[in-house]
Parts: sequence; structure tokens; C-alpha cells
Amino acid sequence: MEKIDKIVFGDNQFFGINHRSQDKAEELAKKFSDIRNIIEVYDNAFECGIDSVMLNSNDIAAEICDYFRKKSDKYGHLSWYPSIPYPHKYANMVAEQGIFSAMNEILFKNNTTSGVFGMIGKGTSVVLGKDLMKLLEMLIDIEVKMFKGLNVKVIFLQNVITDLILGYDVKEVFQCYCDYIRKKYNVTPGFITLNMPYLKSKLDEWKIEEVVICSSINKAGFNMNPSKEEYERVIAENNPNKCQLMAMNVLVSGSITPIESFEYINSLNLQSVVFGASSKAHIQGSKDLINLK
Amino acid sequence: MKKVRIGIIGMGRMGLTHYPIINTHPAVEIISVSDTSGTILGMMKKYIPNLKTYTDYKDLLNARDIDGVIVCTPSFSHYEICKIACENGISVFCEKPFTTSPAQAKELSEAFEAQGLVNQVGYVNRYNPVFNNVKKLISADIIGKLVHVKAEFYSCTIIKSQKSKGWRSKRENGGGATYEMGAHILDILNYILGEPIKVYGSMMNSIFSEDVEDMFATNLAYANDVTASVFVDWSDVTYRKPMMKIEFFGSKGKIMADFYGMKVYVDEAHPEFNLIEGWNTLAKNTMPDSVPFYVRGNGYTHQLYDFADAILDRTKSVICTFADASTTQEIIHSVFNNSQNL
Ligand SMILES: NC(=O)c1ccc[n+]([C@@H]2O[C@H](COP(=O)([O-])OP(=O)(O)OC[C@H]3O[C@@H](n4cnc5c(N)ncnc54)[C@H](O)[C@@H]3O)[C@@H](O)[C@H]2O)c1
Repeated sequence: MEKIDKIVFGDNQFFGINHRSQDKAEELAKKFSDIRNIIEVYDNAFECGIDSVMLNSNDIAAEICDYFRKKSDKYGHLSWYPSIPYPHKYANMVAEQGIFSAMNEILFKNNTTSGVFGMIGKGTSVVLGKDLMKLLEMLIDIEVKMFKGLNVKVIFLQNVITDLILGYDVKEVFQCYCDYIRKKYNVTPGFITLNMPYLKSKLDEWKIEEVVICSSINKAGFNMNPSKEEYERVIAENNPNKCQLMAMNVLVSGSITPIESFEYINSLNLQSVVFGASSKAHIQGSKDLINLK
Repeated sequence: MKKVRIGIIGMGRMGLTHYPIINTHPAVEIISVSDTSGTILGMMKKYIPNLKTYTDYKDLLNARDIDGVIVCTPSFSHYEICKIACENGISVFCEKPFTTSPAQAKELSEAFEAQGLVNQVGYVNRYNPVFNNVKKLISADIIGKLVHVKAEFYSCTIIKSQKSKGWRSKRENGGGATYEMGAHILDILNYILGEPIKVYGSMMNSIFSEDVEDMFATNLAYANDVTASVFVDWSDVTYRKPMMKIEFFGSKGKIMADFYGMKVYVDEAHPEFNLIEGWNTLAKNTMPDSVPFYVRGNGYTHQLYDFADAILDRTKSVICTFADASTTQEIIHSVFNNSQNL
């Protein structure tokens, strides 16, 4: 399978996610509510020699994509690793209106207003709820739309969704996701998960190969379920020609030193690492410490 | 391996996330689900052909082919469902708030104990390692004599006027900021401090909701001259995610805890608890806590695995029993009863 980039720049720092401090997260969220501050951080990362970006499909991401798409002469060389969907959008809508009317709104109302033709035709033929796979394909299209025209390498399914459907143990959903991502977008399907060993064993059982799995991997064992030891075993046994592994949450929002963190990552059989930081010094510092096998 | 056969009633938000969690327990087999909506049942049946589906939960319970049932229907219906489960000898994990009346809560608690059935309520924050740490430190009098507790819970759940819809629009059904959010913080206080001797001076207000409260405040008094004040507001736009903040004031120090971590001030070092003199910061992600399968927070997995494990091995106990939740239910109703407005 096509090799993915070894170092990918993530987006957690922009969206008020900090596993260590809510105050810190709020402070950053405020700063990055102005997209110019986001672009500045990206430019810093690119100057440090990183040219791959992971981005979750939230509303700000659409603006970010627009910016980079318009300046393709300067940014055309970048590789993109989108993750879909933005789970909070769906969670809030489901909470407010229940699952079916939320689906209805996402699939139909949103698109008529934003003028996406084609989807509507496909939509009317779907009896909501009857054909889950058609529904899934439509949702993928809606979420992927904002990345159109960018050089996309992998499309990841966001962990909240991956782990939710993983527990249902239904092969068809995973198969459908992978087939559709390959066929329609011609890129590698990926999954973000907080249950990497479990997901890996299911994908093996279902004979689903040539995918990328991104999961929390860190010295502290944070968000590594069922255990750090299981992760280490699965990572050691993995064949990177069939499945590439990407580490996220490497720094655990600052509770381990970067040197220790990356020493740990470098010692494992990993193909890629995604990390985020907001100052140039931190970005360069981390980048210099990454030395995957 | 001995199997635990499980049914789930109510495949809404909670049911849909409880299913994949408990489904990964190696000893669990999900036999059946029930929902009044045929659409969701049809969809599940299509991809999980062996699953039995029922639009009437009584049929699910009367089939008598399960050991335990997970109840995630609107709160007003919990009582009837639990009662029929008990009559059929089925253990129950019931979502919070347990019931909509303290008398019903007590009745169920006694009935399940009499039958020797596992009984548990989904007050999931009891599994948060931060609050367990707090409980340990408070029990050990680390901050000296506890004097007062200030407890707050904020979210941006309801931030615009909306037409009342569904079961959540009526308190009798289990709707409103007190049942839906406040119950969690009142339960955590119950978990850490025990039963209060008095609940007083409560007040409620609505900001956007037509028929239920969006915020409330209350005071609690405990034995040994400990007091607590509580403020809950689910219409606070400044919080992107729900935030529970609890501060404990003692004669020799202070603890400030939230979902993500805690700060402890002590006037002398306590090496047995890894505390130095002065301020100590403990982030949740440094407290070891992993689960066999993660879906939406470690607590959700811990609580459901505990339920299945307790059915398998009756010597094991669960953290929040019907009796525990009955006490919380009484506190909730005291808040309603002495409220000055709404
Ligand atoms: N632990 C938590 O943090 C938490 C969070 C949210 C909700 N809850 C609790 O979980 C319960 C369910 O809440 P929800 O958000 O999932 O609600 P919901 O409205 O999304 O789901 C309720 C489901 O029950 C079904 N239902 C209604 N009556 C039924 C009946 N008689 N038989 C079978 N199915 C029936 C509905 O069709 C719906 O699918 C409530 O008690 C709520 O207070 C707990």
C-alpha cells in the first residue's frame, strides 16, 4: 500500500482540546477563533519542514481548506489527512431533535440550502433508516466536500464514530466505508480509534487490509485501551505493508517531556505520528525529536 | 465460558451507546432489544440478524431468556420496567435519574434486594477517578475538618428558546435541568459526603425552556456542621463542554476538583497520598485508568462491565445500587419541594 507521511501536523490545539487543562484549552480556543492565527501556526509548521496536515471536518476546517485551496501555488504540495465527521455537530443535533429528524436535516435541509445538487437526487431514493449503507455514503460525501481539490492521502473516520460502530461488530459498515473511500475518492481509508488492538483484531478477522489506523500511543498509557502492553504487542506484530499505524496523543497534552515521549514513539514499529503545537519552537522541537524506524 | 444474556430497552441516545460497550464484554451475549420505534429496530435487525426485537418491552421481559436488562427509556417509564423485570427475576442496570418518585425508588430497591438481583443505576460520574480520589482524601481528613462544599455544574445544553418537544419537556417525565443534569452533581455529593440531614432554600429559574427549569440552586446540611451549596445551569454559552466544579473547604486545606483533574492544598505533606505541603495538581490523565473497550468515556464502560461481572459472580458488587440512587432521588425531590419559584 502507498506509504503515508511520517510526520503529520494535527489540529487539536486549534479547537479547545487540551487533555490537561480546560483553562489552557479555552485560552487557545479564543486565540484561534481568528483564522489568521491558525494560518500563522500552519506557516510555522511548514517552515519547520512539515508538509502534511490532519484536519477534522468542523466549520473552521472548511475555512482553512478554502484558504489553502485558493493559494495552491504556495500550498499545493501539502498532503491532507482529513478526519470525518465532526462528531459534536451530530451529537448536538441528535440531542436537540432525535436521531431521525437530525439525519433528515443533515442530509436534506443542509444541502438544499448550500446548493449541493446530485446528493438530493440520491437522497430521495433512500428511505431513511432502511438502508444504512446508502446513508453512510451520503454522510461521507457531505463531510468530505470541504476537502475537494486538496491532495488527500487518507480519509479517517473520527474515533467517536469508529469506536461506536466497532462495538456493534457489523463487518458491512467497515467494509462499506473502506470500499466507498477507495472507489469514490481513490484514497486510503483510515480509522481513528481509542481501541486499536480491538479494531486491529476485527479488521484481521474481516480481512480488511490496506488501511491506516491512528490511535493514542504514548509513554503514559493515556487513552490506550485495553492496555499499553496490548498496544505494544499489536504494534510489534503488525505488518506495515498491510496496515500502517499512526500515533496520536503522543505528548499527552504536556504531561511527559517531549524527549521521553518521542524516544518511546521512535522505539516502536510505527509508520507515522501526528502531533500539534502552537509555537514555532515547540513545533521544531518536536519535529527534530521524531525519528521513526 | 458461562455467558451473561442481556437485553436493552430504549434504543435512543443512551441505548445506542450502551449496546456497543456491553457487546464487547467477552462473556456477554446481547439477546434482545426493545424500542417503541420500529425504524430503529428494523435497521438493527437487518445487520444483526440473530437479535430479537420487540416494540413492547413487556414481551422482551416476559420471554425470560435474559439474565440482565439495561433500561434506557425516558425516566418516567423506569419504574414500571424495573418492576416487571424484578417479577421475572431479571437483574437491572437502569439509567439515571432512577425514577420520578422517591417512594418508587425505595420500593424497587427493596424488591430487588429481596430477590437477590443485581441492581445498578447509571450515575456514571461515580467512576471518574478524580471524584474517587477526592472521596479518598476527604475520608482521610486530609484537609482537616470539612466545613463547606461549593458545587457547580454548567453546560450549553439549552441555549435558545425552543418549542417543548418529547419527554424532556415535562418534569413529570424526567425532564429539566435538575433531573437531567443536577441529578449527577447531587449524586456525586451523595457519593462523597453521604446523605444530608437537610435540603433547604432551593430556587429555580428558566431562561429558554417553556415548561422546565434551566437552572437551580440549593443548599444542603450534613451531620458534623458540614454545609454545601449547589448551582446548576444548563444554559451557559461560555461552556463548550459540560463542566462540573466542586470545591471542598477544610480547616487545613482545600480541594478543587473538576472532570479533568484536581488541585489540593494541604498545610503539611502527606507522603502516603503523594501530596507535598502547599498546592498539588493532579491531572485526570495521570491517574491510571484504562478500559477493555472505550466508547464515550471510561466510566460508561466500567459501569456496564461491573453490571455484567456482578451477574456472573454474585459476590462482586456494583458502585451505584438502587439504594444509593434512592437517596439521590430523595435529595432531588427535596430540591423540588422547597423551591421558591417555578
Ligand atoms: N448517564 C447519563 O449521563 C445520561 C445521559 C443522557 C440520558 N440519560 C438517561 O437515559 C435515559 C434515556 O435518555 P436518552 O437521552 O437516551 O433519551 P432518548 O429519547 O434519546 O431515547 C429514549 C428511547 O426510548 C424509547 N422508548 C420510549 N418509551 C419506550 C418504551 N415504553 N419501550 C421501549 N422503548 C421506549 C424511545 O423511542 C427512544 O428511542 C433517560 O433516563 C435519561 O435521563 C443518562
